[in-house]
Amino acid sequence: MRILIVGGGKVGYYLAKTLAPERHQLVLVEADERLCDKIVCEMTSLGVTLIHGDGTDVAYLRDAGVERADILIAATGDDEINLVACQLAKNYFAVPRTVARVNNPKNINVFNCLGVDAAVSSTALIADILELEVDWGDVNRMLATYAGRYRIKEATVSSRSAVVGRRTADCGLPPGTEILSLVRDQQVIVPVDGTPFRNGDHVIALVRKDAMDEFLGRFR
Amino acid sequence: MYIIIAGCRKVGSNLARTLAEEGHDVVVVDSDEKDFELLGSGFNGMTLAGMPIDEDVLRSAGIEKADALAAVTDDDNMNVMISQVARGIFHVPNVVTRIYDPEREKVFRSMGLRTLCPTMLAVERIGAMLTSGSDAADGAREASS
Repeated sequence: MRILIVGGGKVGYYLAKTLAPERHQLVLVEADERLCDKIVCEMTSLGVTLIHGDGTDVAYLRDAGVERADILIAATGDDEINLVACQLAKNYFAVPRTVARVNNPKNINVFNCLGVDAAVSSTALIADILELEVDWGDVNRMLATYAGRYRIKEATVSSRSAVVGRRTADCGLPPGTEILSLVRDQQVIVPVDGTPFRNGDHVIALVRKDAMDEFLGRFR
Repeated sequence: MYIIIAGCRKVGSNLARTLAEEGHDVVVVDSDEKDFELLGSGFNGMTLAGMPIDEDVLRSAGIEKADALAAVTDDDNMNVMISQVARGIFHVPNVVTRIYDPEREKVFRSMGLRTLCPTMLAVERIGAMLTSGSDAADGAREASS
């Protein structure tokens, strides 16, 4: 794919580094000359084309080959720059897909309304993860207090596993194991004893600490 | 009319003062409080310090009941974003966007913004003053002042 990244700061730089080995054609546009000097050697060695210029300027976007790009990712630290870069790409150069980094999570809605295909807010993502940690923190504490011998464990049912097609109640899981939920086709199922496992099911279970290996072994 | 002016530098402050003197309800929004000094002591509109691309700031400025908004900060991209938020999300009936860069101005005009490009205005006016003799051009200037 031809990928154009606007902004060579932390996000844009690491994104380019991550995508480069995947044989994409990458162009990075960065407005700050000093930053360009800092990353130019590494970018060149990775096969990334680095352009020093304003990613919201039609002329520089054209230089960067925006007309042939499959996707534009605007990753600067300024929401107004990211929005304008995406809109120029989408509405003027007809780039099929635009992705914007949203710095202020309040702007996610604005970006979605104004025609950016995907608005990604690192702040909101981190907040979600932290919130999850806090939630799980309570669960873990509960487990430590009331069920110190148990752990919540995840496993994925492999095609070779002996449990495929068998009901949760009689597939020989270690004693004390409680299947809490199955994730199947992106749906969360609360299994009753008669629910048969399928290949690819994602299993979340309460498992005795000393039976962890046996539990995981059943799904391999 | 209830008018919001985003940006309180030279154009924003003069525009705000003029419109307020004409009896309009004017609210000026600027991220830098110091810029409000440019309004002078006689300004009888309201000022609000905050990022004018922030929905909450615009709401505090009364954008939901605004008849018109001018985006005249020093940053083209900022002006484009403010204008689109004002039109697309708050449905302000009349939004004017200042864009310095002529190419960018063309693009966003074609996308439906009501834009004004001071660069091209100056180019056209100065060009006319240089080529069509002093009388006509100066006359136009007198008329507009």
